[in-house]
Amino acid sequence: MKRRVLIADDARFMREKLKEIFTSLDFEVVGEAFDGDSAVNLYQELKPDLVTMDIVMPGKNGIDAIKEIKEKDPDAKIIVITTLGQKNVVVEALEAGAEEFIVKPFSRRDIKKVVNKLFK
Amino acid sequence: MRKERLRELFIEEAQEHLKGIESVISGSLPGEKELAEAYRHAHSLKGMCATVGLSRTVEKIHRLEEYFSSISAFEKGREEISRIYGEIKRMIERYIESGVELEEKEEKEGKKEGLVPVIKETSSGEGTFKVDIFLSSSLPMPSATIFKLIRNIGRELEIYRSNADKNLLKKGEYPNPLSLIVKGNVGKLYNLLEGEKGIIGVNVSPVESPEQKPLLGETLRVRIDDLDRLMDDLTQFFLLKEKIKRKLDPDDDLSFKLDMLVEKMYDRLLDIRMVPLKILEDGLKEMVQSYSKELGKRVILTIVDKGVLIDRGVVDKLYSILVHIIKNAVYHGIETPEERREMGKSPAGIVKIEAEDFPDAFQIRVSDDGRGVDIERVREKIVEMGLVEKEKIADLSESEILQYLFHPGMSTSENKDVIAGRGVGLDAVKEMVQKLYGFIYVESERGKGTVFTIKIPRSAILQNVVIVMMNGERVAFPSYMVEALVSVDDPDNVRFRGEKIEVKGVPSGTALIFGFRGKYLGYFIEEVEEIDMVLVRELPSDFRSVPYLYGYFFRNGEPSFLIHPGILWSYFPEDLSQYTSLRK
Repeated sequence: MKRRVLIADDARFMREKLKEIFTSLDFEVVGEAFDGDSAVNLYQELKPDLVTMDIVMPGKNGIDAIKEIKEKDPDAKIIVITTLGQKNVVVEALEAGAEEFIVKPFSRRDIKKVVNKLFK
Repeated sequence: MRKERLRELFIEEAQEHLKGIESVISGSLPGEKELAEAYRHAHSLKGMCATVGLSRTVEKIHRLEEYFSSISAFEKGREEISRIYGEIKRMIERYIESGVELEEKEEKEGKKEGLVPVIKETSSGEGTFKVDIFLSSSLPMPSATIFKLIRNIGRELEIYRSNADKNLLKKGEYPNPLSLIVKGNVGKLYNLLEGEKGIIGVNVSPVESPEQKPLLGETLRVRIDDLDRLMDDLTQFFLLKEKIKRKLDPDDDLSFKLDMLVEKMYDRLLDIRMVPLKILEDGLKEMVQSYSKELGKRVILTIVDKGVLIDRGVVDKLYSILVHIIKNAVYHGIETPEERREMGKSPAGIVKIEAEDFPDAFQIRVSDDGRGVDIERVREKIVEMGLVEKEKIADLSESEILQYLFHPGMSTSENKDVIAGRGVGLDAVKEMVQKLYGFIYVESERGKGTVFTIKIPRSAILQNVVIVMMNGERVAFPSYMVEALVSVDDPDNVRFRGEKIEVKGVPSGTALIFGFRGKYLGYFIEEVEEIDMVLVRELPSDFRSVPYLYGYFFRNGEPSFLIHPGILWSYFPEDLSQYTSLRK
């Protein structure tokens, strides 16, 4: 069974890039969210094995989305995808319950490493 | 196909975001909501640009983002904002027009990336341990990494004490090394740390159970002379140890144990000799006060020392260095209150000293918010002085040009019109820094101010170095400048952290990467022999004119040179034949 991932990012470009990488890592991309609210809703609906979460998004931001998802499912595995310059925000995201973080620019290998660690 | 599709998406979305930003900054003063919108556009754009490797654009967008963080910041930066926005727009348009393929972050499976963590597995099994985890200075988000490490370690072992503070981590402040006292199975700890990005070394040593140990230790006054003598003795012992080691079978366990013991003793002694950087504060403040009064200026000196400790043998020299730099800033960098008001700055100038700890080295940044350096005049002066040919001067980047300020004769008082803000003898400052085996670097922006960054190894006598073979010669580099070891497929296209970097020397399959303030430079080597502590000796006088040699050491009874990568930006030779001939 392929592992299932939900990608939350407001930039289509980033979603496309992540989709490509996860597909190559034998994941099935089951959903794409463009803001925090849709990420929470899609998580409820799809119950994916993994979520990648952007932090700065319109409406509900990534940190609040992580908190809500973790509240409903404490076992949810979430990776934060972030850009430099958000130091404190990443610590907050980890505190909210994200398991790992990845900094842009990232490579397929960076993602693979983190995914391997999570599904060890 | 997919590349084209991604490219189309990039163009489409980048333009959307640019438009989004433009609509906010071109109108009247935006409200909080519009500003948040502009921030989000800038942020998304930044992430996209980072992903395609436009690192300079990323830096610019990052600055823009800061202006969007609050209305007061926006108001303050109005002019700056449209200028930066214009630059970003042009950079992205140029990128789109150039039709360059979307850059992929370098990616090779099973390649060495960064130095392999040096895990000294001197401990095993169950117990209570002191763990020091050293992080690479170029780790993108050290505070988040530390937060994660502590959380993950806390899941498997009991943490009694930690030198990290959650609230400080949230502010981006972090200790390096991360020191923990943990109880549990140390094997689990090694498993957790394995493969974790950015860890360059881990030290684990058993301690008595913290419950049994009283928290307060007894203190004792010691004469400084005695400490100096003890240091001399230890240096002698170190030499003796090297001799003993040569008589031992290299595989003998004893040799390793001796190394570890001497290293530990040296570390302890250094710890005892350390004094807080803060002790320089009073003297420097007094100096700033008297100079600024004399010049009719207002200058505030602040020191953020983050508890950084320095060897007392270095204190006096460091003080002289700081005096020079700060005096320069007060005399030539900071404007008079009237000038500052005209420029929209607050009447009092700020000189800031910030210290930070790194493994094997400490860093000090001295920044002022004065008038900065007139780069065009420096450029002219470089040509005038015949340092670079007129045709080639255009090839130098702004930061390369700035480093010429350390050239003898470049920053004398007669030239102070040339270098607004920089007066007497920066060449002398550089020399002082190099005598401490350190490295100095300058950054400046016209009208904004100047920043000097100094990195100095924690200890001068016994230094941690990376010993390599290069052109059949054994040489060493101070470990605090070494960023990574990478394997090379194409010598003309060596990439590190997604960017092509310059690599000097005779092409080979391996390169050592040096890093400083986010800039990287490499040198081809044959192999890394060892990372070790060596006794650094002063060069004999015939060698002192070679700018990139800074000392020598003995290895298996043979002398080998230490090379200072700190000057490699300006002086590093293409090959080392120059130095081998000197050696003969």
